Order: sequence, then C-alpha cells, then structure tokens
Amino acid sequence: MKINPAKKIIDKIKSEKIVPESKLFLNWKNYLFWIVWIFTLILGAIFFSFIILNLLDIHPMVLRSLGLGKIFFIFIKTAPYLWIMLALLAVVSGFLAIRKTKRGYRYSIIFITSIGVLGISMLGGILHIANVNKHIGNEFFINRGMPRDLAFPQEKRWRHPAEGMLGGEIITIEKDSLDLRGFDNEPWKVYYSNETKIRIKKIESGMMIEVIGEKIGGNQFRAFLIRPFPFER
Amino acid sequence: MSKCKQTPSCAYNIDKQMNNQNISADDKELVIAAKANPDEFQAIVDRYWNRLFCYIRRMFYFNQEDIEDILQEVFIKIYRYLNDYDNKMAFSTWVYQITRNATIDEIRKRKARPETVWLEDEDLVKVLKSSFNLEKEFIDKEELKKIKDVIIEMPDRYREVLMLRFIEEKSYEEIMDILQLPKGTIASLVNRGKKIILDKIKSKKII
Repeated sequence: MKINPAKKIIDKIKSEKIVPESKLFLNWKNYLFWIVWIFTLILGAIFFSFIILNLLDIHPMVLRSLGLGKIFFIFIKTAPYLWIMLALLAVVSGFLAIRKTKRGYRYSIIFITSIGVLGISMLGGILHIANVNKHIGNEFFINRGMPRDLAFPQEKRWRHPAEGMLGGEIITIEKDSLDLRGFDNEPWKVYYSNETKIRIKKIESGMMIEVIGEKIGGNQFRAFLIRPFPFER
Repeated sequence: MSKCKQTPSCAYNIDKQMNNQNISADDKELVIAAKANPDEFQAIVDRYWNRLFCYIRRMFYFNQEDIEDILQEVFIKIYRYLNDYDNKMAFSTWVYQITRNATIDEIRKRKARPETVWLEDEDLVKVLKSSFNLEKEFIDKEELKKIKDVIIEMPDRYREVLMLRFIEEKSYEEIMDILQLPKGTIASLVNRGKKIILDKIKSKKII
C-alpha cells in the first residue's frame, strides 16, 4: 500500500510555508478586465454621442426641400464613418474584455454584445443630452491635427449651397443680412427676415452656424432657418 | 460516476486514513477548515485524489508517476487558490477546472501530448449504451477495441467533452465551467462528438 499522497502535500505546504493567496492578488486580472470593459463602454458612448450629433444634424426642413433620395446621397457622403468604426471597435473590445474575465465564458456572444450596445447607446444618449460630445469635440479635436472632414463629417453637408445647405463662421452682422465665411472659406452674404427661423438666442460674429435656405445669386443666400453648428473652428 | 482501476501501487485506502469527522463534511466546510488549518486540507486531497487521478488518465493518459507529480502540483495550487473559490460553482467543478488547466500547462511544458487515452472497457460500454442507444446487447472485445480506436482518433475537444459528459457524468453547466466554454458550445461539441462516433461506427461497420 502506497503512502497517502495527502501527507506529502501537507508536508510540502508546511515546509515551504505556502498559504492561501489573498482574493485581491488572485483576482487582479479579473478586476482589470472589468475596468477595461467599463473603459470601452465609456469610450464607445463618447463615439456614439458623436454619431447622434451627426444624425440629428439632418433637419426635417432639409428632408422636405431636398427629398429623400438626395439627402440619402448626401448622408452617405457625410456619415460619421470614423465614429461608427470606433464605436464598433469599442463593442468588440468590450466583448473581448468580458470574455477574459473569470466567468466571461458563461455569457453568450449575443448577451455580451447586447449589453455592450445597450450600455453604449444609453450612456451615449446621456452624454449627448449633457453636451459632452460638443465639449470633447471642441477641446480635443479642434486644431489637434485631426482632419476636420474625418472628425466632423457633417461639415461637408453644409457645403452644398445649391442644395440649400450652407454653413460657416459669421464674420459681420447687419440688420437683415450677415457675412459668412463658408466651410470651404468662400465668402457668402446670407439674408434673413422675420420669417427666418433662428434657433440661436443671440447671433454674434465668430459663431459657427448652419443655414437652410436657397441660393439667390452668385454668393448670396436666403435663409429659412439658422441654427448653431455644434463645433468651433 | 465510473471508477477507474488504479494499479495497486497507486491505490491507497482513503477512507481508513481520513479523519472520521471529515467524512461527512461537505466541500464548503472543508474549504473553510483548510483555510484555517493546512492539516484540514488533507480531507480535500483524500476526497479528490482518486477521482482526479482517473480524470487525468482518461483525458490525457500520462503514466502513473507523472499523474502523481501533476496532482501534487494541482493540490498545492488548489490550496494556494482557496480564497478564489466562490460558491457560484460546485467545489468539485472548480477542482476539475484547475486540474485540467494544470495538466494542459504540463503538456505545453513538455511540448508533447500523450498520443492515446485510457479507457476501460466498462466505461466504453457505458458510454455506448447510455448515450448512443445502441440496440445490440453485447459488444465483443474486438468491437470494443475498434470503437476505442475511433475515440482515440477523435479530435481532442470532442473526446474531452464526451468523456466529461458520459464517463465523469458531469452536467452541461459543470462542463462549461471545467472547460471554460459557453454552454452552447458544449452542447454542440457533445452532439457533434456523438455524431462523429456513430458515423465512424457505421462507416467502418464495427457493430
């Protein structure tokens, strides 16, 4: 009969002074992956809030004047591809982080992805309501070397004066018109009247705006609606 | 659960050596006791040694000395990780999980996997009858040998899942925790594994 191996094991535990490790020490990797997951959720939510900002930029008035076909074409050209890709990357990274946690294998792909998408959407919506996306855009992406067309593709949407969409920076304000430097640096005279819907409390020079209206001559534009462009120049 | 026949040199009479008061204690009580006093850990080793020995031999087919070395490391690891065990899974499942991971680490260290598995005839018959609904009452030695060859030739992941399900008699939930794979993957591995064996048995006209 062989000696009970348990005795050998207990002797080794005692002689090498082996003790049960602390829970914190044993689980640090697990905690780390949960933190990574939360981090991907927050990042994904920021990217998603940029997507919301881009989508909400399409005003019903534009839909009416341009028609669905044309606005769809413009949207395809100016969709926030960078933010969509980064948001998707955040969902995938979040999925991988959860799978690396201690019990990550227990959750199905559908469950983890749904939770990720839901979390990113809800948090992204909150960030948008709190205007965090605008602050982040202005603080981190303006004049930081990132191509504007990539970071703020909706700017391209407002370079279509012939289609009734003009955007840019206000240079001077007069009684019934304002001088605008378009996003493509072209100077424009924008006329407005009492019928123009103005969604800005107080128009000031230096402001970035979006104008829906019609082109009435060379570089002249009649405004139906004026509203702020979310990012600075 | 079927018992594997250990050779006389590795078998030892666990019950006689176990502390009487620990025989009836459940795993969770043993864990609490072992954390407080390493001597109490002996009851856990006694309870699981033979089961894990058979598990490693069935799955990975190391020789007896190697299995004992692996198990010694496994139990040391279990002792060190005692604080990591939580009640969300059965203690036995957690122990199997550690054993499997340690054995795979050992295989990686040696850079060579044993090329066969240890399968008792009675285990095999049991698997065949309980899981494959074979109508034939008796399966002769020659047929068993051929079926054993089919199982040995199977990809590891199918063989491992089938053994855990039908020989170790683990539930899908337990197998999920031992292999750390999603439950859906386990179910599909079991079904595909069974199909592979049945198809081979039919195509080779074994039974």
